[in-house]
Amino acid sequence: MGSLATLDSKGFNASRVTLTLGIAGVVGGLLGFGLGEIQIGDDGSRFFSNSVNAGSAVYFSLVLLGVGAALVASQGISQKNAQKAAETVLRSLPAILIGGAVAGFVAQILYTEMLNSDEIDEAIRLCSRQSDYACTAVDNLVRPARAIGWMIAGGLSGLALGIGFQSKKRMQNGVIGGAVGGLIGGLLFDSVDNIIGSGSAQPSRLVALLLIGALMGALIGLVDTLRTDMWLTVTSGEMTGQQFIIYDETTIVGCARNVPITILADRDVAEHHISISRVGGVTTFQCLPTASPITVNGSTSTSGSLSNGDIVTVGSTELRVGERTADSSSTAAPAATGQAHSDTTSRPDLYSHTPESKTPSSDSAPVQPSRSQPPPAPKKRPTIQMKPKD
Amino acid sequence: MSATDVEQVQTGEQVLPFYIVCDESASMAYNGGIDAINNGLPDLHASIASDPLVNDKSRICLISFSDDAEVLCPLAPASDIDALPGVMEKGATSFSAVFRLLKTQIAQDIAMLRADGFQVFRPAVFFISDGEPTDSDWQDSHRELTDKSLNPHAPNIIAFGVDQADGDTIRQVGTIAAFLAEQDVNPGNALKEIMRALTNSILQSSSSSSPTLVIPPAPDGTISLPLDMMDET
Repeated sequence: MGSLATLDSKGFNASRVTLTLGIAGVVGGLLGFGLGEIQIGDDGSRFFSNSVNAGSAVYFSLVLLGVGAALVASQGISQKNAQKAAETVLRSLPAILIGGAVAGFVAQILYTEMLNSDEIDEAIRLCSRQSDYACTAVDNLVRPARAIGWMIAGGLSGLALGIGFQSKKRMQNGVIGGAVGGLIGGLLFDSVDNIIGSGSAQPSRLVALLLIGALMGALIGLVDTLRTDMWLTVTSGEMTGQQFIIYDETTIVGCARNVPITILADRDVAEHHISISRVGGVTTFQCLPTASPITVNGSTSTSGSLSNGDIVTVGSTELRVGERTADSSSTAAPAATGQAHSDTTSRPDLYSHTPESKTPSSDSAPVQPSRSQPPPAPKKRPTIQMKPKD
Repeated sequence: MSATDVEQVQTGEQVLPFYIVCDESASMAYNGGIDAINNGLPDLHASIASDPLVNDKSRICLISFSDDAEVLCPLAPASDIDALPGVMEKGATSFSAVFRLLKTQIAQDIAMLRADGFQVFRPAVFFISDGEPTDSDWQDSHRELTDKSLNPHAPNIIAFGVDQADGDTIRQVGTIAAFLAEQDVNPGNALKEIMRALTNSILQSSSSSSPTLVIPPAPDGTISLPLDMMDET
């Protein structure tokens, strides 16, 4: 496990999700650039050179293969779960390829339709007269069309990410985040070319795709974070510090590599151990057949409800339930029934400066994730006195 | 060559360094492992320090590991130790970190002992863990530590696994012996027995003028694991 230094001890590490996906997007941009160059020949598209729409479909498909695969794989990789990474990539592959092709095809049609050749010719003439070699007038005409094309591509790539995880909410988050990231990246695409100012288009494409990948990843991560209602933080065992967002109405926790929440290095966790259901703001759990009962705040149970701050022990692994509450003044404490977890009595609010342990507060305007709670005191290594010598 | 072969023919008093390596991963706090080790250390110390011959012939070093590895008590005769830092609950289980530390630490310690005129027997490492390593490439650093062609100071490792430790992993870690606690035995109790066995091993190994590493019998509640055999080819 990594260091916990950047974690709020009870809250949700929002920046890690955004950063992880942002970095994955950069890697994906690099991959996408490499794959996309397969289609870019010396005289236009290598494949479907007679059809610009089909050629763009192939190009977008290849680019999104890189970006989408990296985004999809990032969760499994960050959890050191290579099997999960591989499975989610394989599952989302058809959606990425088809989505990319559709995005490229549609984007090219829109791009062509939105551009007025007379206006472009006039802009080029203007640029020549003004010795504007970057020709910002043409960029301004092209930019909206390109941005819409990348918006569609980003949205479909984000959709593929959600399909990879078989999660409806992640599909929604992916579409929103990917579309916004693609839109911003598309708007900046031509500016990158002007800034790079290279004789070759390759460096510009590389930087632009890195930017688009990073924006898509970071914005999908941001939307994931903003729409997170509940999460689990591992507080014991080998995965201490790992956080899992509960995205969907039903989430399976177990040691299987293909479930949404995979607990590793715990022999007492069954492949499919519990099912967590979240309907109408009420969260319940159910132990699955063949799985041993779990404990919630020290009480053994096979089913029941979960709320913020509850300490759940699945197998030998302890998880703390985190929940974003609409009412930051809520102070419902877990039913601490024996285990030494009496410090976990508050509901962390992701968007409040109010310390978690405090009670009523109505002035907690949404600003940023709570970081105001002082970090837990570092544990002190014990000193062991040796027995006196005879 | 015996398990405790002298690394180099030298004159001077013979000593056998022992490295006690303890897992400090978070799970050790929940299964009673931390307490068992901390409670066992004063007994281990008292047993060694109270026997002048054992005290002269052995040197003790305590190392802990989790996300990283740390020397809690540098190599010293037991009688020189009045107090030592205990193990404490930390994070993950990085085997690589401790194998890398052992390699450099053992080389330094041997150089220092030799500079003081001692003949140094091949060090013994008692390796205690309760879980699976969280790093995937630990075998490389293990090989760099234990392969005598790569590390002339390669120690003999006796590995003990409790609780979530995997038999195959512990077997790979141990170079001359490996023990795994039985699943129905409380990990804390198993570690108490392991600390006892470890103490007896040090006492028996160091109770003659020419120390010879005595591999302990399987502590109560543990089974002895067969070590990997090298192919003949």
